[in-house]
Amino acid sequence: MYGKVQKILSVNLRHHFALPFLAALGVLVAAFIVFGVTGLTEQEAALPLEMLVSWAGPVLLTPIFLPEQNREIRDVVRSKRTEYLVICGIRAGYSVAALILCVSLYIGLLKINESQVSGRLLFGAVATALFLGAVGLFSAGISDNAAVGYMVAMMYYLVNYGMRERLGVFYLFGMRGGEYAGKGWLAAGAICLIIAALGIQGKG
Amino acid sequence: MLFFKECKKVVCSAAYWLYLAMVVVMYVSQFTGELDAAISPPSKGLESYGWKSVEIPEILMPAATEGLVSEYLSGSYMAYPFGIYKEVKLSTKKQEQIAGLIETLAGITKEDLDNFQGYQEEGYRGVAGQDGNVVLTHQEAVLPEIHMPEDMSYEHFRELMRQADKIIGGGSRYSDRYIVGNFSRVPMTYEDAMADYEELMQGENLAKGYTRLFCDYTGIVLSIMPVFVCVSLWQMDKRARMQQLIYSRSISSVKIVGIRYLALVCCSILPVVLTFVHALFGVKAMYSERNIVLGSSVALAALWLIPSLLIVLAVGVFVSETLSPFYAIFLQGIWWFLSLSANQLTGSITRYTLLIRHNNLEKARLFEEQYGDFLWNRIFYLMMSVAALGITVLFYDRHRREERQHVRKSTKNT
Repeated sequence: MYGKVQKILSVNLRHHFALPFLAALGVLVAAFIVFGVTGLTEQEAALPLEMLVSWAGPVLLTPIFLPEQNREIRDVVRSKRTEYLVICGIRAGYSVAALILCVSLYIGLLKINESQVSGRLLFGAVATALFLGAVGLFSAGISDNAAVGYMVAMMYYLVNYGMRERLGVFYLFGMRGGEYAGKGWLAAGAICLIIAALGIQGKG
Repeated sequence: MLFFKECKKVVCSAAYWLYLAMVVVMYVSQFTGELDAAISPPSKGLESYGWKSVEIPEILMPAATEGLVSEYLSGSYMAYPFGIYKEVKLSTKKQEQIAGLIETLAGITKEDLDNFQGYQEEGYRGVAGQDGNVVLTHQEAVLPEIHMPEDMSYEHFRELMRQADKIIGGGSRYSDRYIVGNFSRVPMTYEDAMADYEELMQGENLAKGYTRLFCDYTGIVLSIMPVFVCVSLWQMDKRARMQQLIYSRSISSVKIVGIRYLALVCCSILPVVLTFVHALFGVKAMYSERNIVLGSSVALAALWLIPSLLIVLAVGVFVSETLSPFYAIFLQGIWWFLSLSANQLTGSITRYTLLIRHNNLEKARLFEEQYGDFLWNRIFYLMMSVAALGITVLFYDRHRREERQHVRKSTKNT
């Protein structure tokens, strides 16, 4: 089993990971160019993390089902002995790990440049990106269309600009106002959405 | 016939319905509130009628100098290099350069600046009142005494400020873009506010005011959402494995790409037209006693929104065909974000930003001042759309030829 997982992991990393990971690094570079990183307070540091770095989530998570978006390819994959759910689970695992790495990299960059960073900032940033990514993944899963996944993530992001009260604990930009309470809900919501998306695709 | 088939494909996609929903949500949540009550004239005797920026050297020069001294002492400079707030900390060498400028501007040496005690930033601070409650009070800045040379000309002063902006890295409060708005503001009087109101109510200005606001909100959606509809349509053939079949047809590549693009444009513009018509009817009903002229509003909306839609779809089609749909979404997303961030809500129209913002029913004069850049911007994106579409046709045609050759070779071998 371990050997099989390792083989699936290496094949997927080789063929399906480079493009999203490069795009996620592109998001970090864009955030670095647009926002300052030097001498920021914790609240100021939350701005790039919530507004732009959070897009590493949809970029990494939404395309998990993309390689089998063509129904015929999916049928072939499903006919194999290894369950499709296992393959998607492995992809979700390394995508989440890459997401944590990307956010940590940016936070490390902030720290090097004497900005105030903390554990709760890291957790909050990961939870935000993870939730936005999970929204994309879930939408891609139920619609069978990655473009729709990205689109719904974008819609959710836009809605956050004008409907703060209605979103409650699922508001994405809380840390900018010094609020961290909702981040736990975002992380829990993200886990639920990822599990639901994998369940739907695994069954369908 | 092919056009209607393509339209049907667009309209039947989930991405299109989500796009449509987004246009409607943006319209209902942001714009329709403006249709609840007509704009009323300003009341007499108010404490404040707001502020206006007027370039008056006598106000601007001392205020900007104080600002620079204050930021030097605080050790950080406020800047908006991409329209987003950035706290800039300068290296020792650059701080020395700023100190040199301050010496020229204010006659304070670096030693005096560095040894100054009791510096206090201007702003509001919480002070405990007699009842123990914290009260916000405004405190003036405490700075070293400034002696600006009497022979300092305004032109020379602005040149020094440009140098300061360059040292800070651009987009600072001393840049040409922000200096007047930051340091040369005067309070508006009742007469000023009334003049603005009267101007807005005249002829076609009223409908144009609402049109600008409508375009401001709708433009945000149009600058990103259509790319998803486009990518979805482009992927449809791939998923249905129809590419080879289409490649083999005798129809020209110009027709295929052109008709598909036209279908995307027509379908995407539909919800915008419907919401705009609703908005115009709402304005007409609200000001039924006035003769509202709509012609120029329709032209303004078309000029504002159609180039945005055309360029987003053209870039979407181009990147999907040449690289991948994934890149199309990614690049458009980054472009949209940078463009959104680079804009202020009102009064920052430039020649090349994708998004044009004017989030104000009034300030018609400000928009008119920037109309030249607005026109340039829209024509530029119109031409870019045609260019992107032209290159897409070339790539599509090459892909078709390669595919045909590949099929011919395969048939020969079998």
